[in-house]
Order: sequence, then C-alpha cells, then structure tokens
Amino acid sequence: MNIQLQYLIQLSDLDTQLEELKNERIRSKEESIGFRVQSKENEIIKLRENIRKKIEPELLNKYDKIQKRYKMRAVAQVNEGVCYGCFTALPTSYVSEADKNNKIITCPNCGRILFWIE
Amino acid sequence: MLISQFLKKENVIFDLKSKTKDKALEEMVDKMKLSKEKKDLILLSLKQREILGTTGIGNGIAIPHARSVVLDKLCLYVGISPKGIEYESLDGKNVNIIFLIIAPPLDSSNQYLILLGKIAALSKKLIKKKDYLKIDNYEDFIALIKKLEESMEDEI
Ligand SMILES: [Zn+2]
Repeated sequence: MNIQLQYLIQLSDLDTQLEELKNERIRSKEESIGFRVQSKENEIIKLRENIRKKIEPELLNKYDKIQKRYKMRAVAQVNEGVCYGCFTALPTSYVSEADKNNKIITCPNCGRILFWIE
Repeated sequence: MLISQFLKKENVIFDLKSKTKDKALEEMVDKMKLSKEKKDLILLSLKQREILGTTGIGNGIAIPHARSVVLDKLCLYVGISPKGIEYESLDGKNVNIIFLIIAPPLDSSNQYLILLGKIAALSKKLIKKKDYLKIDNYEDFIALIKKLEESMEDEI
C-alpha cells in the first residue's frame, strides 16, 4: 500500500470522527451511552498536524479541496468497481491491478482519493 | 439487529494477555483477518478516538469504537480479561470486558450507532452476572449473550 495513501486514510478517519462528534445527534447518542467526549482541542490539533506534516503538499492540497467541497470523506472506498464517494462505477480498466492502492488514484467523477477495499 | 449475530467464535477472545489499553487494542485488532497495513490503520483510528475521550465507560466495561476507510463491513470483537486492564476509565477502575466495534465510513442505515447503543445496554446487564468472568468457552458465552438479548427484547 502506498505510504502517502496510508497517511491520507489516517487523516480521513480522524476527520470523519471529528465531523461525527460535531453532529449533535451522534454526540448526544454517545453521551447517553456514557462516553464523555473531552475537549482536548490542543491534543487533537497537534495529532492532526502531525499526520498532515507527513503528506506531500500537493496531495494535501487535493485532500483539502475535496473535503471543502463535500464537507467530509475525502478518501472513498472502491467496492466492486464502484466509488463509494459518489456511487458511480469507474470506467473498466481505469486502473491497472498493480496500481490499486499503490498509486494515488482519484475518482474521475467526484475527484475523491480512492482506496480499493477488495 | 442482534449482537450475537456479529459474534462468531473467532470474534471472542478469552483471557486477554495485555495489561494496558494500547496493548489490549493491539491484541484484539491482531485477531482480524486483514493485512498488517489495514490492521495498523484500524488501530490508529481506534487510538485517535481514545484521544477524543476514553471509551472506558466504567464498571469494568470498555467500548472502543471507530470508523475506518479500510473496512468494508461492521465488525464486533469481544475481549475478556478476568485480571483487568488499565484503561483510563471514567471511574478509574480496571476493565474486564472490551467490546470493540469498527465500521466503514459510510453506513446509511446507521447500524454502527444502533449496535453501539445495544452493546452499552447489554454490557450493563452482563456485568450483573457475577460469574461472567469465569466463562472460558464460546458456547457458554454466546448462550449468555443470547439470553440477555432476549430479556432486553422483552423489556421493549
Ligand atoms: Zn467518485
């Protein structure tokens, strides 16, 4: 797996969590279960910055642009040839088998960075 | 949706060896049948969640949970430690049972949150069964989970 892709996934997973905890419904569900979401803002900013530092500027730029456009999920899964970001089938032979998860590939339709799940 | 349906034999780990939170999470994620790279990313996502707030909800229960792009379906694992694990829980007590939930980023029917809620309710019933930590085989454990699930259905 491409190392830059790994960092992008790590960042995307973190951003998904942060986004969810901003969602009032999800947050109150978590709190009703007994989870305390502490406001360790500084630690989280530091953690996020540390991941971002490892990502090449050009890719980070791409990530930020996509995230801004779609609010979240800049990295999308590909499942059975379908981008799970926009639910469009990728063109057949769009990517060679060897390049899947070994190169940074974006969806031709929505521009999200792709991760092949299979 | 039933919790017991998510718990196959290989998803239940008796006698966790780890003594600390990080080690216990590693030990449990390691049981997943995924590549090392995927397992590492799942672990990172779980640890990131812990920074946002501990998932040790007290009374010996922890419910670590996270989403990751590398997963294609909702997974549940249970780890039991009769000796207890240092987990930075809300009540400061060691953790004896861990319910680990991991989900893909997208899940339209919100199974993840529903499962989370059910597990929280079930775990509170489970710890009232004083002898649950003595269970050391899958058959007895899943029978107890099913029984508790049935009693929860009755209450609704
Ligand atoms: Zn797409």
